[in-house]
Amino acid sequence: MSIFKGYFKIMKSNLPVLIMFMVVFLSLSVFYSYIGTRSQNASFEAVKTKLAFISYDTEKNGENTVLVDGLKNYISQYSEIIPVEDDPEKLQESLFFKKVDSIIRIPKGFTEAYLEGENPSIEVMSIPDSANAQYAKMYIDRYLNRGRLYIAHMEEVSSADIVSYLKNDLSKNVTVEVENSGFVFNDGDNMASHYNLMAFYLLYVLMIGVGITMLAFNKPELVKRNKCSPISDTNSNLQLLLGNLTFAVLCWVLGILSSFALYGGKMATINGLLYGINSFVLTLTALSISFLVASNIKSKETFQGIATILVILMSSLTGVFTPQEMLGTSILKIARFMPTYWFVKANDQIQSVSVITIDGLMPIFQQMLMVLSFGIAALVVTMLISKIKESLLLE
Amino acid sequence: MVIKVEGLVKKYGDLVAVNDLNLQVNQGEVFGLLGPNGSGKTTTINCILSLLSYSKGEIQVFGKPMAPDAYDIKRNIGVIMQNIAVFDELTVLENIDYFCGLYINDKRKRRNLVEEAIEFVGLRDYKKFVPKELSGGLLRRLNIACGIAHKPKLIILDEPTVAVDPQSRNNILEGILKLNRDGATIIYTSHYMEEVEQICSRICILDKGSIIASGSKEELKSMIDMGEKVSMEVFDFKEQLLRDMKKIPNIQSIDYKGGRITVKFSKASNNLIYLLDYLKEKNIKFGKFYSELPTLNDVFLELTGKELRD
Ligand SMILES: Nc1ncnc2c1ncn2[C@@H]1O[C@H](COP(=O)(O)OP(=O)(O)OP(=O)(O)O)[C@@H](O)[C@H]1O
Ligand SMILES: [Mg+2]
Repeated sequence: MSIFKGYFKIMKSNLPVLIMFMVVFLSLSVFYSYIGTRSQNASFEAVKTKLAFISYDTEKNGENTVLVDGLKNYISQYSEIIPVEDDPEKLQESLFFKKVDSIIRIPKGFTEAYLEGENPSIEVMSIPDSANAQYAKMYIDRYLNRGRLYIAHMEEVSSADIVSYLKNDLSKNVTVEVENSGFVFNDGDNMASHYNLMAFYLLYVLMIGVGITMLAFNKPELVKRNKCSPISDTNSNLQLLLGNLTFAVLCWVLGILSSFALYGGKMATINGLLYGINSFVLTLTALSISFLVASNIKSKETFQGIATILVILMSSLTGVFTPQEMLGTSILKIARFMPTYWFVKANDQIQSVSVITIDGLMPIFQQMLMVLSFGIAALVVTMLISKIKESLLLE
Repeated sequence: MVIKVEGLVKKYGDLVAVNDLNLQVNQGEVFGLLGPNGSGKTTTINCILSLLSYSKGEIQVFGKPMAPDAYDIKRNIGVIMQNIAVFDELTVLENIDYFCGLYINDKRKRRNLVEEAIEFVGLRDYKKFVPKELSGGLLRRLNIACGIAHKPKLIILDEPTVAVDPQSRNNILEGILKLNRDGATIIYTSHYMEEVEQICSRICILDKGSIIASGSKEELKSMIDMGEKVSMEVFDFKEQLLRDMKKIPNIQSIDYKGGRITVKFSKASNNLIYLLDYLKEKNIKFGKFYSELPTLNDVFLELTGKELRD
């Protein structure tokens, strides 16, 4: 295991840089969660979404069901409900002239299906690219997801009960949030932004750590010298792979530990677990990408330059530093070609998970799969290039 | 026989770097591969080590065919490359330990070997230094220590003294002889004929990828018809005398330049006596007087018509 040990001895020389990045990451995360809570409170007041709320889910007497009414009440705290005639043309018109940002339509039988634990959908039509419309969706999700918690954990719960629990619950939440204008880390949104930032940390630390170390082993003289030894190529590659994986997992564990330090008990939830898995998938992908870059660049300085540019592009264009909704559509189109875009998307979805349902988790796993496929692609390209190089070298 | 190379041909595109080369290295030898820049020394070594594929030929090491996956053979070879191969990030001690670790797993045994290697090349005071902090000569010594720490039976050194000060050079050459006395077979390549003459028991002279002569240094020198080369300072010398001097027996050539006469004799006895007698008879006054035996450079010059080093 001489090569494996050598790997970590060389890694030792990168330690100062690595520690620096851990510190930068943690400071950024603390800073973001601080401004995060503040701006969120402000936005509640500043933007009142204009909504049309139409429900087909009525009781026999023509009134809305208790649940739908509860939802409507909740949403009306954050938005202005504009009465619009239930006529397709009128609805389109009101959207077009921005009389409303979104139109919410509750289908017939919604309450019944929801109480059964199913996942009935609500139709939301919005002005394209409207942030307000996003908020409307967010509030609906928040309300319904909380409600699912009660359905899942209490037997024989009536919709009236749910509505009153939720009223209590969510209004409490609002007051807590107001108090949070100080410096508290108990908001799930902050945790998502912490994990988004972790992309920056993981990418950088893996790029620099793995890259600089692999560069040392890839020096032509040393490749030749190692080939003179009785260690086979396969064996030495395996030892290096093991070194890389060990280092990557160590970096990831440190990242997870940092979120335990900041968010403590919150990590022991389904959200914590999903954040953990998502960041692990990104770890593997980042490892694979840095491997690709390091195997094709000779000089340390060039490598550091390219790594820095890559990491900054991959972070800033995909919503690691700023919410994806705030990035323009054209930027987001480019961002799709970067793994961090899907990573951030998954984090944002994980944030709103409160109950484990296949339907809820599927999209998250799909994003993870996207992240992973970038890693696999990088690995395949690396191997192809090295095969070509090998055949040229022996000529 | 430690190494046997038969009919080795190595081409880089159209360029024939090694052309139908045959050589044998015997157990316990210090075998020298002498040749000017670009003559194919490194290429030959790389083929022997299976680092390069070659167009034609057979190579055996320790009596077995050499191949990229002949790990049992590789285990007993120590390699010191022409280009220094050490990790910039590791210290002297860590570097030697790393390379020794490629051959020796046992930790305690390795620690002793590494210490021994450090003593051997005289880097005891530099254990914690990284390569950047070493002078050129010390770096070459580190390169050597990394190649020999595991006590290989066969040690291949490719120009280990390039750009090295005389002090480190002597340390290196003496070290190589000591390794040989301790039982290792040595292959040494260089374009410094003095070094090769100093340490090698058998020498192959390489030019343009072919061996043009081989044997001990005495054998090589006896291949050419050349005796002493005399160089002397003369005073009040009249150039007309030069023609007359050609009458001295066994003279091959004579030159007069800047108050200095250079005479080359062919192989014969009593050459110097004839010369001194002549000088006395004609009453030619002379000052500093040197006589040297032919060098491998003269051999190379005679065989190829060009200097070994320009
Ligand atoms: N990778 C290569 N591609 C093409 N030509 C090469 C390559 N390596 C060496 N050569 C050529 O092969 C010939 C022999 O080179 P080689 O390096 O073996 O010489 P050498 O005797 O070791 O010289 P030196 O004393 O400078 O180290 C030279 O003409 C050189 O230009
Ligand atoms: Mg060479």
